[in-house]
Amino acid sequence: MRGVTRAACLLASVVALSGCISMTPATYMVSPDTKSSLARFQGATLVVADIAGPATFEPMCRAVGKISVADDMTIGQFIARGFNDELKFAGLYAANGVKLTGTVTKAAFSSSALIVNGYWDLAITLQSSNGQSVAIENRYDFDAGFIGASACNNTSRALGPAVQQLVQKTVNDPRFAALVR
Amino acid sequence: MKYRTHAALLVAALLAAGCAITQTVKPVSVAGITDLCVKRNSRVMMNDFLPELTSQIGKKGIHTTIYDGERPASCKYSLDYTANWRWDMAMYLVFAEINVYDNGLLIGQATYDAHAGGGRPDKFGPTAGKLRGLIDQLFARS
Repeated sequence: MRGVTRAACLLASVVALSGCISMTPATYMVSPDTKSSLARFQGATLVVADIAGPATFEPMCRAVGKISVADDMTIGQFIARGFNDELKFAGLYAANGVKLTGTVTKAAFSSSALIVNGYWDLAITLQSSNGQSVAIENRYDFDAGFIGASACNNTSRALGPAVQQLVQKTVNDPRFAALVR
Repeated sequence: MKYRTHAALLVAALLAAGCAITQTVKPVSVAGITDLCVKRNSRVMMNDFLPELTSQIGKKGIHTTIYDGERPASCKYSLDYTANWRWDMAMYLVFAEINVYDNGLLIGQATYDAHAGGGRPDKFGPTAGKLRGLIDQLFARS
């Protein structure tokens, strides 16, 4: 019994000494590379109206807290924001342009792959108002770190570049051109 | 045997709670910025922060204009920031984030986070020095 009490005290002390844990929400940053890739569609106009889902997503990171997204967006809304930001940056965005809708078919992460590495697995299907559709999936690897709080914080932040890479992979896919026509 | 359990528990607690200061910079992806509008954050209580921020950006050859409220239409490039301090026998910078935008689209970001660095002595020190590390990397391509 004394052992359990001691252990509990030790645990409480360490957590108290280690400070507060906060999760930084993911934000989306536009990419010059994606802008270059979109340049070949100059003259076309597009909008990503809605990306739904995912149907299942486990946001809890270790025992630290939930992964958070800026403005409390869902993963689907965050990916749609990413596409639209890139379209605006490339000068292709128009609310009355070709309309793309989509679904997140997979969203999963690890903050402890090979102990200190992490990844985000994201998969989407995009459908154009012209009837064409495309399915894309991507794994984004990053250094998560060893310590729980910072590993989860890094995982939360990594959603931004993970979506950036997914958007870039999508627009670089030869099938993307069929959505734009 | 009992010590092993305690040691394992200690490691597990440290893994969950952490003890780190992180600095993450995604440099501004646009080169040749000469003018930058800086949105004043009235919730940042340290009066010296904004002058220090604009001074350091000025040293990068970028002219800054401070504004309140909505971004003026004439400002293609803009910057917003937040910063918090904490008391632990002395004030120290616990969190700072600087975002740079091109017509409202995020093109660069720098973050300093000492929330989980409570036990580290290097959490102390002048804010100017911590800011310099962020600004130098943020505008490395400018």
